[in-house]
Amino acid sequence: MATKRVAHKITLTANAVLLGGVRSLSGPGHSRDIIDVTDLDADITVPWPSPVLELGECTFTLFWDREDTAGHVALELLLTDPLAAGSDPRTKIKTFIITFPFGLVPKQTFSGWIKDAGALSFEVKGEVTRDLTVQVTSIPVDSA
Amino acid sequence: MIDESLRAFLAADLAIADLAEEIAVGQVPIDDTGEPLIDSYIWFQQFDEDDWLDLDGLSGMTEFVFDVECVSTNILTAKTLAQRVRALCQGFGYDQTMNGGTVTAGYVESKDDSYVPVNRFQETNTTVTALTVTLYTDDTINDT
Repeated sequence: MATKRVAHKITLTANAVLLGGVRSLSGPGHSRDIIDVTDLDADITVPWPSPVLELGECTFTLFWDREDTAGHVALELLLTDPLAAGSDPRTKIKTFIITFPFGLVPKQTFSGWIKDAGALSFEVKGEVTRDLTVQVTSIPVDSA
Repeated sequence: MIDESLRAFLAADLAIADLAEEIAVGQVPIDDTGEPLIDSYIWFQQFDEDDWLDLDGLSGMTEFVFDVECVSTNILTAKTLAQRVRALCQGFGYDQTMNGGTVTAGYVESKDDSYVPVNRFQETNTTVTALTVTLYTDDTINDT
């Protein structure tokens, strides 16, 4: 029987650094497109699954700390640092690990690159947070 | 049983045991004239219960919400008791044991201005620091 969970004590590691101040986490998601193979004389549509899996995104919100050079700032630099001339853009692909406090395979590992670091907003009495988006480049793998 | 679990959990804390003369569940410790029998105590009462049912009626996770009031004739004592409750229950770890039952997560919030404390007295000046404590539990703790 499926066990019900509360999102609690879940951690995110990015490029071998355990991130502090993770406010929320979503993903990684993936999807499969539809190939429409409906005949002209068909009465219903015939939607076949695409053989190609579409890898999605992982988004998370951090209580942004611009002085956390090893964690938060390093993530931003992964996005903003230009590639050296002639270098392989795949060097921007890093390993991400989500760790859950339950289950026999509590680690979910995938690779990806920082696609977006959202704008910082400062508001009176407001939390200083930042949304980051990772473009996932591998199917997540569960492990112990 | 959840009441007893929370009561025993709070009572086991040395700072609370040192400051609070009683941890009252539901019933306010008052004398015949309606005045408090003791100077400092923690009072709590279950406010809400939400059973996370499947469509097929299976439980497995229950959310309990408590009104908690830290009451004292000494303002510092009331505030210190509230700080201890907050420190013990806010972010209570994943699947930790609370008096024999398993609590998946615990959270604490301060009451807002619209909350009317239960522990109010005509003659005795007391400070009441009111909190909302939410506990998520599996079926090892229930409300019986």
